[in-house]
Amino acid sequence: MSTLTISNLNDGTTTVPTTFVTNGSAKAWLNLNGTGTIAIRGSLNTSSVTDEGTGKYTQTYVSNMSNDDYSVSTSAGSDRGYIETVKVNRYNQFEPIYTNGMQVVTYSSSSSYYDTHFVLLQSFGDLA
Amino acid sequence: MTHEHLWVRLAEAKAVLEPVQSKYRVLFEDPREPDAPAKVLCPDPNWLACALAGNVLPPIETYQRDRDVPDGEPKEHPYAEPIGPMTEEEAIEYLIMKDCPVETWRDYKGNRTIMKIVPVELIPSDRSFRNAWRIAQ
Repeated sequence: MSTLTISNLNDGTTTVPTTFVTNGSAKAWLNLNGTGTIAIRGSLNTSSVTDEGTGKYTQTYVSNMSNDDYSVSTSAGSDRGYIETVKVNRYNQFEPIYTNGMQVVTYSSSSSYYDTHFVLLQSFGDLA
Repeated sequence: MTHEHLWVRLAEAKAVLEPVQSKYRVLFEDPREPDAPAKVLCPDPNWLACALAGNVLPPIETYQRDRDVPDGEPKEHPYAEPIGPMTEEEAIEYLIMKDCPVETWRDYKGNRTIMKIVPVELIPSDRSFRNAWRIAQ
């Protein structure tokens, strides 16, 4: 592999440091089918996903985050033929945030834990 | 000798390696949560492809040593020399040591079976009563 060492990118009008790109990239992402025997459709920087019960999942990173100040974007959805609200949150606000992965819970519009077809996670921050 | 950061190696491997769906799942119960249902660990297909191909993942000991390193301090695993190819069985053992709590595979002294590596077909696809799943003894 060859390495291109540059400190700035220029599109003809605007110049930005390459750290804009590296710092802004998702360091991990996951597209999970959370129903049936759970299955990973696509991912980056993920070693495993653990099904912890109805609507509870843990994604574990291969390359860990530097500290617990990273940011996570989550969404979830159903493949039902009608509109259905599916929410996703960090698993437990009273537990510490781990640098080696994240836990999420998905629940229905009635606020009960709910297995959903699409669990989508993206993590941004500094790697260890 | 220096190596590319682990995340860079993962990104490069993802571009060239076909994902591999594992034939196995790890079923385990966490002794710290006696009322919780059995958990099912699913290996990531891209990670398994890296494990089988070799020269991407760091030694498992680096993760174990990094557990004792405070957040924000330099970690060993991202820059450790990558290990060679593993069999799928070896990869699952590596994954257990990396992603399962040590209380399940190292420290447990009880008589109950709290961990099993099972073919994926043996995991029920019907999730009825999912929160009551236990490992059959």
